[in-house]
Amino acid sequence: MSTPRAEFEKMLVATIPHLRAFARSFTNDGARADDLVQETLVKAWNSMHSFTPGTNFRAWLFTILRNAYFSQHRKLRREVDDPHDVHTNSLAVRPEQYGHLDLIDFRAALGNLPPDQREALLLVGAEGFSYEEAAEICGCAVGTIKSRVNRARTRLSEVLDVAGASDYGTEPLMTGGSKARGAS
Amino acid sequence: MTTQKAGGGAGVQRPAGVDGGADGAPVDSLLQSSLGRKLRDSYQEVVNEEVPEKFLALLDQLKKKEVGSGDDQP
Repeated sequence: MSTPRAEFEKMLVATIPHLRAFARSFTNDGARADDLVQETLVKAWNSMHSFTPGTNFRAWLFTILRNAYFSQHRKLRREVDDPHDVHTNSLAVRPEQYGHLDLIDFRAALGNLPPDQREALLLVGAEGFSYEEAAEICGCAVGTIKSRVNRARTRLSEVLDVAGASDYGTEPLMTGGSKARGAS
Repeated sequence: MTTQKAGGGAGVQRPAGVDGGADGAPVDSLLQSSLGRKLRDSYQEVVNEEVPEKFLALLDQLKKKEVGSGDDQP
């Protein structure tokens, strides 16, 4: 049995804002994120019958979006270096942004996380998926999601703690994403 | 006696269910809960954005296409 068409459409429309937010975590480019959402909507519409009523619709859509992103990503990588991804990875943390707007600091720190950790953290911490659901969306073990979320949390608290301390001038600014490591 | 105002930390309470240092780490859990709030806030900001027309137009298009090709019309 499948979901009636009108019902399916209603659920789809209701999920668009969440798909856009999730897509934005893959690319910093808003237009490209929206393209990804559109592709997701088409794919979801065409595979309407493969959705099992009573299961988590949002999780189903997120899985489609994620797969769409990764197949596109592989294609792009094969062709040329994708400038948008470079942009995403080097998501600029300008020193003057530190200590001013909380959310800007936060987003910069989030942008500097390894993508798999950022994704796990957003799914669990922002979207409210259970670890099990997040694991299903990402196609990995529950334990993997848990450890990604923990590592993301730890990393963010370290970075933001340092950024917070720098407001009082007691700590030197940490340069975002620096690969420089001491010997110890 | 130095009456020092606690820097915003009056009555620090550890939110239930936040893992971390068992007893002695209120600062850490405070940080964790503020982290969780920021995470939800920054995400919610995008969720709350108005959905551009193009998405609804796309769905209309998909519906029409299906009616045009999929239905068995006698």
